Amino acid sequence: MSYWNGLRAKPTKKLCFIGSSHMRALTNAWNQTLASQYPEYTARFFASPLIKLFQAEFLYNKISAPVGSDLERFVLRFSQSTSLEIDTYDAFIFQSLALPYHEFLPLSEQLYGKNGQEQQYISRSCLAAGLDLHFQTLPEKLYLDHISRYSSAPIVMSIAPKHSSLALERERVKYEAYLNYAELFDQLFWEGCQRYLAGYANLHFLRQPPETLENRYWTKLEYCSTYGQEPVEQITDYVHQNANYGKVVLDEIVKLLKSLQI
Amino acid sequence: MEFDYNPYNHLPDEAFWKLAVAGRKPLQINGLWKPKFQIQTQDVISTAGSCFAQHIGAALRARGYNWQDSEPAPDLLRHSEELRKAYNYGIFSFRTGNIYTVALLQQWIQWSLQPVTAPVEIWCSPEGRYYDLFRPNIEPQGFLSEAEALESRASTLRAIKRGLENTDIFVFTLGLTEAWMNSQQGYVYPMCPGTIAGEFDTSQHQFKNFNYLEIYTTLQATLEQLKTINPKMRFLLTVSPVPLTATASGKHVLTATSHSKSILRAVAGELELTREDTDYFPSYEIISAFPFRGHFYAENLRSVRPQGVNFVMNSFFACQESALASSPATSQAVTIFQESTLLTKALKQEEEVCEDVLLERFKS
Repeated sequence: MSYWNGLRAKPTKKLCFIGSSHMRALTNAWNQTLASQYPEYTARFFASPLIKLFQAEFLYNKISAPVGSDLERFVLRFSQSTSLEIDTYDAFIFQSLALPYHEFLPLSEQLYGKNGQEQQYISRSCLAAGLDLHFQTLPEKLYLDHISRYSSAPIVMSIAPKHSSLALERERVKYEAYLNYAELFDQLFWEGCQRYLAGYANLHFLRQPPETLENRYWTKLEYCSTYGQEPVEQITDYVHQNANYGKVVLDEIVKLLKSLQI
Repeated sequence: MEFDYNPYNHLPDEAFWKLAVAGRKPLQINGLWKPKFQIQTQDVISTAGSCFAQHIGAALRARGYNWQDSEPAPDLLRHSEELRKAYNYGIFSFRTGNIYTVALLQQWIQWSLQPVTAPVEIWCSPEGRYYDLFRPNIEPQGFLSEAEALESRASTLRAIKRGLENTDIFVFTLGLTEAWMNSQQGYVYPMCPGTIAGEFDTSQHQFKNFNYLEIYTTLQATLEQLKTINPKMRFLLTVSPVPLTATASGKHVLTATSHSKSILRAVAGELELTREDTDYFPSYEIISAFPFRGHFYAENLRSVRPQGVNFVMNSFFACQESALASSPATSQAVTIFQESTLLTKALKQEEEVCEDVLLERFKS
């Protein structure tokens, strides 16, 4: 290291977060505490409901929310800019891939034989093929392919949280069949994620931190997005998590980035 | 010399070859079927049999009939017709693959009702995938394990049993007389072991060309057995117009086809004549009879073109409509053009899944 370089302040690393509604927990955590805890990083958030991420324009070295689009409206909540300049970031973090409960709940009933139906066996490879179809409906690959054209920065794929244990407590009947196949679905989803995103050399998966889980299949109640803000009996959002959850995840992300020398 | 009366005097035009056939263009030959019973929208219809039976199920579904799918595809596959077909969902009412012979039909029914237990017969490929020799093409890459293959078969057997209990009309398409059997155990395979899956073993695997009496008695017994499950069940038999892909009979494949189809047609005809609950729909004649000049066959002179299937199924519905009360299609005020378009679309999606065509690869 040269004398002059040694005198310079260590440059901050620029992190780009891209994701769905699950990003809210991370942005809250970042803004509340972590921005000051990790001054070596600056964070840019580009998030919207999952389906709106498809509205992005993929331009030369740039990902942009089109003028007047819903995506633009959501992106502007987190940033003053509607575009990402890809080669300016040191790492990309995705927070969007989530266990597809909307697929697995009806599937579990078909397998379990709910509502008077007998149990139906569906082969593992058929389920995997079906799950691959689900992954094809997701936007992440569009972003990853485009980012990979202009950057070799590491990409972290942080898996979105599982439903809160409150869901099971409140709607046991709804999840009754699901419980019998939760382990199978977990495995299928994890294997599916790896098939979906195979071939990206600089991609790193980050699973939900174990300390946030009540057990293998449910997130602890205390991480519900409105936990502590309203009585537990009034909580209806079992899907999204709060800033405390975001903090645990961001700490894991930072740990991973540091191990990658970022 | 004139005859005042003889039995031919007052016969309708259709009884005379010149009027009903020779004097008409092929597509004008009609009215080949006088249905014994009306098929209503609320009737639960199950279809099984050889490749051609797939078209019947698809056409019934396209016309809004209550075609039974006893083992529906997982919703995960809703965006891919191709994958649903590859995994044999929605092709027949039961996820058995093609049932080419009457003996195989009887076997599946007996296994589902469990007077007879199915033998294991799961084969592990050199790649470590497992194939059920009684439905070797049911999963495109085979199963993960023997246990999975058996669990899947058990699921199908449960679905057959439940499906038969619900069935009002059972449509069966007779396909072949030739089959391969296990000579020691007496059961029959859908395909010769060693062709799609399994290993051929001369000490166990034996060729069998079922004769008229065997097929007649087996089918008669099977229909009786089905009546014990549901006494109101009625039967509609058809014979596949699709020729044999290959014969192991030692005869020329053309004469073997003629022999096979003649027997199947005769059995179907005899059962239609002798059983009140059984009808025969002449899809075989409509496609393969020489006055149609082979027009409905594809270039390989074997596969039936979508237009042929469309013509057969339009004949099916037209005969239902003219002989009996109005069909569901009419009651729903769907125009013939719309029906035709709908059916053609359905048929395009339902390209046949035929295991036996794989035999061609052994002589290319």
